[in-house]
Amino acid sequence: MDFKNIAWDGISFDAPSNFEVSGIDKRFLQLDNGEQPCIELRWYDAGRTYKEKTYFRQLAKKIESASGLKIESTVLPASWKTPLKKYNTTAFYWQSDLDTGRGVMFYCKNSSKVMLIQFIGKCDEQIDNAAVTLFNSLKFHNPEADQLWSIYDMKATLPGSMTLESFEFKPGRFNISLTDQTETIDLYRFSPADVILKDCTLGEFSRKLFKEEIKNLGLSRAELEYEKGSTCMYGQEKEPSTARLALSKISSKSRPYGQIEVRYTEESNRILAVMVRSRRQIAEDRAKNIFKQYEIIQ
Amino acid sequence: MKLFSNNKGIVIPEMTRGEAMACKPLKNRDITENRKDDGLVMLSYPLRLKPLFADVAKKFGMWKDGNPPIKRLELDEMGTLVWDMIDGKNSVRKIAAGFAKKYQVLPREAEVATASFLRDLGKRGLIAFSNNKNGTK
Repeated sequence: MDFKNIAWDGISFDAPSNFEVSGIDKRFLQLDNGEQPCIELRWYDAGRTYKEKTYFRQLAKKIESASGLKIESTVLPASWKTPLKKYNTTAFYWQSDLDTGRGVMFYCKNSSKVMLIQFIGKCDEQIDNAAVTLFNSLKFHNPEADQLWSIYDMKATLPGSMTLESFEFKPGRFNISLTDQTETIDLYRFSPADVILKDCTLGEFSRKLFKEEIKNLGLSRAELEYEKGSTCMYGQEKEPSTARLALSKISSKSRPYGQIEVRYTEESNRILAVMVRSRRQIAEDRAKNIFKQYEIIQ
Repeated sequence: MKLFSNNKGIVIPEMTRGEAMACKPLKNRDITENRKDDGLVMLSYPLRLKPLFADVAKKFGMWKDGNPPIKRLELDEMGTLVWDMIDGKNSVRKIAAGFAKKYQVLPREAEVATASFLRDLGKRGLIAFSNNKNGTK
Protein backbone atom coordinates (compact mmCIF):
# COMPACT_ATOMS: atom_id res chain seq x y z
CA MET A 1 0.00 0.00 0.00
CA ASP A 2 1.32 3.48 -0.92
CA PHE A 3 1.20 6.26 1.62
CA LYS A 4 1.35 10.04 1.48
CA ASN A 5 2.19 12.59 4.10
CA ILE A 6 -0.38 15.05 5.35
CA ALA A 7 0.73 17.97 7.52
CA TRP A 8 -1.86 20.42 8.82
CA ASP A 9 -2.05 22.93 11.67
CA GLY A 10 0.51 21.42 13.98
CA ILE A 11 0.43 17.71 13.18
CA SER A 12 1.70 15.46 10.42
CA PHE A 13 1.05 11.81 9.60
CA ASP A 14 1.03 9.30 6.78
CA ALA A 15 -2.21 8.09 5.22
CA PRO A 16 -2.92 5.66 2.37
CA SER A 17 -2.50 7.50 -0.93
CA ASN A 18 -6.02 6.60 -2.02
CA PHE A 19 -7.43 8.39 1.04
CA GLU A 20 -8.21 12.06 0.53
CA VAL A 21 -8.98 14.93 2.85
CA SER A 22 -12.73 15.48 2.62
CA GLY A 23 -13.24 17.69 5.65
CA ILE A 24 -10.90 20.35 6.94
CA ASP A 25 -10.92 22.98 9.64
CA LYS A 26 -8.58 24.44 12.20
CA ARG A 27 -7.26 21.42 14.12
CA PHE A 28 -9.58 19.03 12.33
CA LEU A 29 -9.21 16.66 9.41
CA GLN A 30 -11.55 14.11 7.89
CA LEU A 31 -10.32 11.59 5.36
CA ASP A 32 -12.36 9.42 3.05
CA ASN A 33 -11.54 6.44 0.90
CA GLY A 34 -13.40 7.75 -2.15
CA GLU A 35 -16.66 6.20 -1.01
CA GLN A 36 -17.28 7.48 2.50
CA PRO A 37 -15.52 9.19 5.43
CA CYS A 38 -13.32 6.73 7.27
CA ILE A 39 -10.90 8.67 9.50
CA GLU A 40 -11.39 11.77 11.61
CA LEU A 41 -8.76 13.58 13.61
CA ARG A 42 -9.26 16.44 16.03
CA TRP A 43 -6.69 17.93 18.33
CA TYR A 44 -6.84 20.51 21.10
CA ASP A 45 -4.45 22.47 23.26
CA ALA A 46 -4.92 20.95 26.71
CA GLY A 47 -2.31 22.80 28.71
CA ARG A 48 -0.20 21.06 31.30
CA THR A 49 -3.07 20.07 33.55
CA TYR A 50 -4.60 17.36 31.42
CA LYS A 51 -6.72 14.80 33.24
CA GLU A 52 -7.52 11.86 31.04
CA LYS A 53 -10.71 10.69 32.75
CA THR A 54 -12.19 14.17 33.04
CA TYR A 55 -11.45 14.91 29.43
CA PHE A 56 -12.98 11.67 28.20
CA ARG A 57 -16.07 12.16 30.33
CA GLN A 58 -16.53 15.68 28.97
CA LEU A 59 -16.04 14.46 25.41
CA ALA A 60 -18.51 11.61 25.77
CA LYS A 61 -21.07 13.97 27.30
CA LYS A 62 -20.61 16.52 24.53
CA ILE A 63 -20.99 13.94 21.77
CA GLU A 64 -24.00 12.35 23.42
CA SER A 65 -25.82 15.66 23.70
CA ALA A 66 -24.89 16.68 20.15
CA SER A 67 -25.59 13.46 18.29
CA GLY A 68 -27.28 11.09 20.71
CA LEU A 69 -24.44 8.62 20.32
CA LYS A 70 -23.19 6.85 23.38
CA ILE A 71 -19.44 6.68 23.58
CA GLU A 72 -18.07 3.78 25.58
CA SER A 73 -14.49 3.29 26.64
CA THR A 74 -12.95 0.00 25.57
CA VAL A 75 -9.68 -1.91 25.43
CA LEU A 76 -7.07 -0.61 23.01
CA PRO A 77 -6.91 -2.91 19.94
CA ALA A 78 -3.79 -5.10 20.03
CA SER A 79 -2.30 -3.70 16.81
CA TRP A 80 -2.52 -0.11 18.14
CA LYS A 81 -0.65 -0.84 21.39
CA THR A 82 2.93 -0.68 20.06
CA PRO A 83 2.64 2.52 18.01
CA LEU A 84 0.79 4.27 20.86
CA LYS A 85 2.92 3.00 23.72
CA LYS A 86 4.46 6.43 24.39
CA TYR A 87 1.06 7.94 25.16
CA ASN A 88 -1.56 7.43 27.87
CA THR A 89 -4.46 6.25 25.78
CA THR A 90 -8.21 5.87 26.18
CA ALA A 91 -9.79 3.76 23.48
CA PHE A 92 -13.48 4.12 22.73
CA TYR A 93 -16.21 2.85 20.42
CA TRP A 94 -19.70 3.86 19.38
CA GLN A 95 -22.48 2.29 17.39
CA SER A 96 -25.52 3.73 15.67
CA ASP A 97 -28.22 2.22 13.46
CA LEU A 98 -26.29 3.26 10.37
CA ASP A 99 -22.67 3.02 11.30
CA THR A 100 -20.05 2.09 13.80
CA GLY A 101 -16.73 3.52 14.82
CA ARG A 102 -13.84 3.17 17.17
CA GLY A 103 -11.07 5.47 18.15
CA VAL A 104 -8.55 6.59 20.65
CA MET A 105 -7.86 9.68 22.71
CA PHE A 106 -4.39 10.49 23.99
CA TYR A 107 -2.28 13.32 25.30
CA CYS A 108 1.06 14.47 23.94
CA LYS A 109 3.01 15.91 26.84
CA ASN A 110 5.65 17.68 24.72
CA SER A 111 3.14 19.68 22.72
CA SER A 112 0.42 19.76 25.41
CA LYS A 113 -2.13 18.55 22.92
CA VAL A 114 -4.99 16.09 23.23
CA MET A 115 -5.52 14.04 20.11
CA LEU A 116 -8.73 12.32 19.12
CA ILE A 117 -8.70 9.89 16.24
CA GLN A 118 -11.61 7.77 15.15
CA PHE A 119 -12.04 5.20 12.40
CA ILE A 120 -15.52 4.99 10.97
CA GLY A 121 -17.11 1.86 9.61
CA LYS A 122 -16.19 -1.78 9.82
CA CYS A 123 -12.62 -2.31 10.91
CA ASP A 124 -11.21 -4.23 7.96
CA GLU A 125 -7.56 -4.83 7.13
CA GLN A 126 -7.27 -1.64 5.09
CA ILE A 127 -8.46 0.52 7.97
CA ASP A 128 -6.33 -1.32 10.50
CA ASN A 129 -3.20 -0.85 8.32
CA ALA A 130 -4.09 2.81 7.89
CA ALA A 131 -4.50 3.17 11.67
CA VAL A 132 -1.15 1.57 12.50
CA THR A 133 0.67 3.66 9.86
CA LEU A 134 -1.04 6.82 11.08
CA PHE A 135 -0.06 6.17 14.71
CA ASN A 136 3.50 5.24 13.78
CA SER A 137 4.00 8.36 11.68
CA LEU A 138 2.06 10.87 13.77
CA LYS A 139 4.16 13.86 14.78
CA PHE A 140 3.23 16.92 16.76
CA HIS A 141 4.83 20.12 15.61
CA ASN A 142 7.58 21.64 17.71
CA PRO A 143 6.90 25.43 17.82
CA GLU A 144 10.62 26.17 17.89
CA ALA A 145 11.31 24.43 14.58
CA ASP A 146 10.00 25.17 11.10
CA GLN A 147 6.56 23.77 10.46
CA LEU A 148 5.57 21.61 7.51
CA TRP A 149 2.27 22.17 5.72
CA SER A 150 1.33 19.45 3.26
CA ILE A 151 -2.26 19.37 2.16
CA TYR A 152 -3.75 18.27 -1.18
CA ASP A 153 -0.97 19.19 -3.64
CA MET A 154 0.45 22.09 -1.64
CA LYS A 155 3.62 21.60 0.36
CA ALA A 156 5.41 24.35 2.24
CA THR A 157 7.75 24.75 5.17
CA LEU A 158 7.20 27.94 7.14
CA PRO A 159 8.37 29.37 10.47
CA GLY A 160 6.98 27.38 13.40
CA SER A 161 5.83 30.54 15.17
CA MET A 162 3.18 31.13 12.53
CA THR A 163 -0.36 30.03 13.20
CA LEU A 164 -3.20 29.34 10.82
CA GLU A 165 -5.33 32.42 10.32
CA SER A 166 -7.61 31.30 7.48
CA PHE A 167 -7.77 28.88 4.57
CA GLU A 168 -9.77 28.20 1.44
CA PHE A 169 -9.84 25.06 -0.70
CA LYS A 170 -12.19 25.65 -3.60
CA PRO A 171 -11.81 23.93 -6.96
CA GLY A 172 -9.18 25.90 -8.81
CA ARG A 173 -8.27 28.15 -5.88
CA PHE A 174 -6.41 27.15 -2.73
CA ASN A 175 -5.20 29.61 -0.12
CA ILE A 176 -3.55 29.23 3.28
CA SER A 177 -2.96 32.30 5.43
CA LEU A 178 -0.54 32.14 8.36
CA THR A 179 0.32 34.84 10.81
CA ASP A 180 2.47 35.71 13.80
CA GLN A 181 3.15 38.87 15.79
CA THR A 182 4.92 40.68 12.97
CA GLU A 183 4.21 38.94 9.69
CA THR A 184 1.37 37.43 7.64
CA ILE A 185 2.15 34.96 4.86
CA ASP A 186 -0.43 33.96 2.28
CA LEU A 187 0.16 30.98 0.03
CA TYR A 188 -1.97 30.68 -3.08
CA ARG A 189 -2.31 28.01 -5.72
CA PHE A 190 -4.47 28.27 -8.84
CA SER A 191 -5.29 25.69 -11.48
CA PRO A 192 -5.56 24.92 -14.36
CA ALA A 193 -3.04 27.63 -15.25
CA ASP A 194 -3.27 27.16 -19.02
CA VAL A 195 -6.99 27.93 -18.94
CA ILE A 196 -6.57 30.91 -16.60
CA LEU A 197 -3.79 32.36 -18.75
CA LYS A 198 -5.53 31.71 -22.07
CA ASP A 199 -6.95 35.20 -22.35
CA CYS A 200 -4.64 37.14 -20.05
CA THR A 201 -1.01 37.37 -19.04
CA LEU A 202 0.31 36.43 -15.61
CA GLY A 203 0.78 40.14 -14.97
CA GLU A 204 -2.85 40.93 -15.75
CA PHE A 205 -4.07 37.97 -13.71
CA SER A 206 -2.01 38.89 -10.66
CA ARG A 207 -2.86 42.58 -10.92
CA LYS A 208 -6.55 41.69 -10.84
CA LEU A 209 -6.10 39.13 -8.06
CA PHE A 210 -4.15 41.44 -5.76
CA LYS A 211 -5.86 44.66 -6.80
CA GLU A 212 -6.67 45.72 -3.23
CA GLU A 213 -3.29 44.82 -1.77
CA ILE A 214 -1.41 46.54 -4.59
CA LYS A 215 -3.43 49.67 -3.97
CA ASN A 216 -3.29 49.59 -0.16
CA LEU A 217 0.40 48.75 0.11
CA GLY A 218 1.49 50.93 -2.81
CA LEU A 219 3.17 48.04 -4.63
CA SER A 220 4.80 48.30 -8.03
CA ARG A 221 5.42 45.42 -10.41
CA ALA A 222 8.33 43.77 -12.14
CA GLU A 223 7.62 40.98 -14.63
CA LEU A 224 10.24 38.49 -15.67
CA GLU A 225 10.78 35.06 -17.06
CA TYR A 226 11.66 32.36 -14.57
CA GLU A 227 12.82 28.95 -15.66
CA LYS A 228 10.00 27.40 -17.75
CA GLY A 229 7.24 29.69 -16.57
CA SER A 230 7.12 33.33 -15.76
CA THR A 231 7.16 35.39 -12.61
CA CYS A 232 5.59 38.62 -11.45
CA MET A 233 7.00 40.39 -8.42
CA TYR A 234 5.44 43.24 -6.56
CA GLY A 235 7.42 45.35 -4.12
CA GLN A 236 7.45 48.76 -2.52
CA GLU A 237 9.59 51.44 -4.10
CA LYS A 238 8.68 53.97 -1.48
CA GLU A 239 8.50 53.70 2.28
CA PRO A 240 4.95 53.46 3.65
CA SER A 241 3.52 56.76 4.85
CA THR A 242 4.42 57.99 8.33
CA ALA A 243 0.80 57.60 9.39
CA ARG A 244 0.77 53.92 8.34
CA LEU A 245 4.07 53.28 10.10
CA ALA A 246 2.79 54.95 13.25
CA LEU A 247 -0.41 52.86 13.08
CA SER A 248 1.60 49.65 12.80
CA LYS A 249 3.32 50.49 16.08
CA ILE A 250 -0.01 50.85 17.84
CA SER A 251 -1.98 48.06 16.15
CA SER A 252 -0.54 44.58 15.83
CA LYS A 253 -2.90 43.89 12.91
CA SER A 254 -1.54 46.69 10.78
CA ARG A 255 1.07 45.51 8.28
CA PRO A 256 2.33 48.45 6.20
CA TYR A 257 5.10 46.56 4.38
CA GLY A 258 4.26 44.11 1.64
CA GLN A 259 5.68 41.91 -1.06
CA ILE A 260 4.04 39.60 -3.59
CA GLU A 261 5.51 37.06 -5.95
CA VAL A 262 3.43 35.12 -8.48
CA ARG A 263 4.82 32.24 -10.51
CA TYR A 264 3.46 30.18 -13.34
CA THR A 265 4.90 26.71 -13.65
CA GLU A 266 4.16 25.02 -16.94
CA GLU A 267 5.10 21.56 -15.71
CA SER A 268 2.47 21.41 -12.96
CA ASN A 269 0.02 23.68 -14.81
CA ARG A 270 -0.37 25.75 -11.66
CA ILE A 271 0.00 29.37 -10.67
CA LEU A 272 1.57 29.80 -7.24
CA ALA A 273 1.65 33.03 -5.31
CA VAL A 274 3.19 34.20 -2.06
CA MET A 275 2.13 37.39 -0.36
CA VAL A 276 4.02 38.68 2.66
CA ARG A 277 2.74 41.53 4.78
CA SER A 278 4.73 42.75 7.74
CA ARG A 279 5.01 45.36 10.46
CA ARG A 280 8.72 45.57 9.70
CA GLN A 281 10.66 46.16 6.52
CA ILE A 282 10.73 42.98 4.41
CA ALA A 283 13.98 41.61 3.01
CA GLU A 284 14.12 41.87 -0.78
CA ASP A 285 14.31 38.11 -1.23
CA ARG A 286 11.68 37.16 1.40
CA ALA A 287 9.04 35.86 -1.04
CA LYS A 288 11.74 34.17 -3.11
CA ASN A 289 13.02 32.36 -0.01
CA ILE A 290 9.50 31.20 0.88
CA PHE A 291 9.18 29.85 -2.67
CA LYS A 292 12.31 27.75 -2.08
CA GLN A 293 10.21 25.70 0.33
CA TYR A 294 6.85 25.99 -1.34
CA GLU A 295 6.05 23.49 -4.06
CA ILE A 296 3.39 21.43 -5.75
CA ILE A 297 3.43 17.70 -5.06
CA GLN A 298 2.77 15.76 -8.25
CA MET B 1 -20.13 10.57 10.64
CA LYS B 2 -18.48 13.69 11.99
CA LEU B 3 -18.26 12.54 15.58
CA PHE B 4 -15.96 15.34 16.65
CA SER B 5 -17.97 18.03 14.94
CA ASN B 6 -19.36 20.98 16.85
CA ASN B 7 -22.46 20.96 14.67
CA LYS B 8 -25.53 19.61 16.35
CA GLY B 9 -27.82 17.14 14.63
CA ILE B 10 -27.04 14.34 12.25
CA VAL B 11 -27.56 14.68 8.54
CA ILE B 12 -28.15 11.34 6.90
CA PRO B 13 -27.31 11.52 3.20
CA GLU B 14 -29.70 9.86 0.78
CA MET B 15 -26.82 8.18 -0.98
CA THR B 16 -23.14 7.75 -0.25
CA ARG B 17 -20.51 9.72 -2.05
CA GLY B 18 -19.54 6.60 -3.99
CA GLU B 19 -23.12 6.04 -5.14
CA ALA B 20 -23.47 9.68 -6.18
CA MET B 21 -20.26 9.49 -8.19
CA ALA B 22 -21.52 6.36 -9.94
CA CYS B 23 -24.62 8.16 -11.30
CA LYS B 24 -24.72 8.67 -15.05
CA PRO B 25 -25.89 12.04 -16.37
CA LEU B 26 -28.23 12.10 -19.38
CA LYS B 27 -28.95 15.06 -21.66
CA ASN B 28 -32.45 16.49 -21.92
CA ARG B 29 -33.69 15.88 -25.47
CA ASP B 30 -35.63 19.15 -25.52
CA ILE B 31 -32.53 21.30 -25.58
CA THR B 32 -30.79 22.59 -28.68
CA GLU B 33 -27.05 22.38 -28.79
CA ASN B 34 -25.12 24.76 -31.04
CA ARG B 35 -21.40 24.61 -31.51
CA LYS B 36 -19.73 27.96 -32.13
CA ASP B 37 -16.71 28.61 -34.35
CA ASP B 38 -14.36 28.37 -31.36
CA GLY B 39 -15.72 24.91 -30.51
CA LEU B 40 -17.62 26.07 -27.43
CA VAL B 41 -21.18 24.91 -26.91
CA MET B 42 -24.23 27.15 -26.65
CA LEU B 43 -27.30 25.50 -25.14
CA SER B 44 -30.82 26.74 -25.79
CA TYR B 45 -33.55 25.41 -23.57
CA PRO B 46 -37.16 26.23 -22.70
CA LEU B 47 -37.41 28.22 -19.51
CA ARG B 48 -39.23 26.32 -16.79
CA LEU B 49 -41.72 28.60 -15.12
CA LYS B 50 -44.18 28.06 -12.33
CA PRO B 51 -47.84 28.37 -13.56
CA LEU B 52 -48.25 31.82 -11.98
CA PHE B 53 -45.10 33.20 -13.62
CA ALA B 54 -45.98 31.42 -16.87
CA ASP B 55 -49.30 33.32 -16.98
CA VAL B 56 -47.49 36.60 -16.39
CA ALA B 57 -44.97 35.72 -19.12
CA LYS B 58 -47.83 34.95 -21.52
CA LYS B 59 -49.49 38.31 -20.77
CA PHE B 60 -46.23 40.12 -21.51
CA GLY B 61 -45.88 38.33 -24.82
CA MET B 62 -42.90 36.22 -23.82
CA TRP B 63 -44.74 33.07 -24.86
CA LYS B 64 -44.40 32.72 -28.63
CA ASP B 65 -46.48 30.30 -30.71
CA GLY B 66 -47.49 28.46 -27.55
CA ASN B 67 -43.87 27.84 -26.62
CA PRO B 68 -42.18 29.01 -23.41
CA PRO B 69 -39.36 31.56 -23.59
CA ILE B 70 -36.01 30.13 -24.63
CA LYS B 71 -32.98 30.65 -22.43
CA ARG B 72 -29.42 30.38 -23.66
CA LEU B 73 -26.40 29.13 -21.77
CA GLU B 74 -22.91 29.52 -23.17
CA LEU B 75 -20.44 27.00 -21.83
CA ASP B 76 -16.76 27.79 -21.42
CA GLU B 77 -13.96 25.44 -22.46
CA MET B 78 -14.18 23.31 -19.33
CA GLY B 79 -17.98 23.24 -19.41
CA THR B 80 -17.90 22.15 -23.05
CA LEU B 81 -15.55 19.28 -22.20
CA VAL B 82 -17.88 18.03 -19.48
CA TRP B 83 -20.95 18.52 -21.70
CA ASP B 84 -19.37 16.51 -24.49
CA MET B 85 -18.72 13.64 -22.11
CA ILE B 86 -22.36 13.37 -21.09
CA ASP B 87 -23.72 10.47 -23.08
CA GLY B 88 -25.72 8.47 -20.57
CA LYS B 89 -22.91 5.93 -20.31
CA ASN B 90 -20.18 7.93 -18.56
CA SER B 91 -20.58 8.19 -14.80
CA VAL B 92 -19.87 11.40 -12.86
CA ARG B 93 -16.67 9.76 -11.66
CA LYS B 94 -15.55 8.98 -15.21
CA ILE B 95 -16.34 12.50 -16.41
CA ALA B 96 -14.41 13.95 -13.47
CA ALA B 97 -11.45 11.67 -14.24
CA GLY B 98 -11.47 12.88 -17.86
CA PHE B 99 -11.58 16.47 -16.63
CA ALA B 100 -8.70 15.89 -14.19
CA LYS B 101 -6.58 14.29 -16.91
CA LYS B 102 -7.23 17.00 -19.47
CA TYR B 103 -6.55 19.93 -17.13
CA GLN B 104 -3.98 18.33 -14.80
CA VAL B 105 -6.01 19.12 -11.71
CA LEU B 106 -6.34 16.96 -8.60
CA PRO B 107 -8.86 14.10 -8.95
CA ARG B 108 -10.79 15.32 -5.92
CA GLU B 109 -10.74 18.90 -7.18
CA ALA B 110 -12.08 17.72 -10.54
CA GLU B 111 -14.79 15.67 -8.81
CA VAL B 112 -15.99 18.66 -6.79
CA ALA B 113 -15.93 21.00 -9.80
CA THR B 114 -17.63 18.49 -12.11
CA ALA B 115 -20.28 17.50 -9.57
CA SER B 116 -21.05 21.15 -8.89
CA PHE B 117 -21.36 21.92 -12.61
CA LEU B 118 -23.56 18.87 -13.24
CA ARG B 119 -25.74 19.79 -10.27
CA ASP B 120 -26.22 23.24 -11.79
CA LEU B 121 -27.16 21.71 -15.16
CA GLY B 122 -29.57 19.41 -13.34
CA LYS B 123 -31.25 22.33 -11.55
CA ARG B 124 -31.80 24.02 -14.90
CA GLY B 125 -33.36 20.82 -16.23
CA LEU B 126 -30.66 20.32 -18.85
CA ILE B 127 -29.66 16.90 -17.60
CA ALA B 128 -30.99 14.10 -15.44
CA PHE B 129 -29.10 11.43 -13.56
CA SER B 130 -29.56 7.72 -13.92
CA ASN B 131 -28.74 5.46 -11.05
CA ASN B 132 -28.30 1.80 -11.92
CA LYS B 133 -29.58 0.69 -8.53
CA ASN B 134 -32.77 2.72 -8.44
CA GLY B 135 -33.48 3.34 -12.11
CA THR B 136 -33.61 6.80 -13.66
CA LYS B 137 -34.04 9.72 -11.26
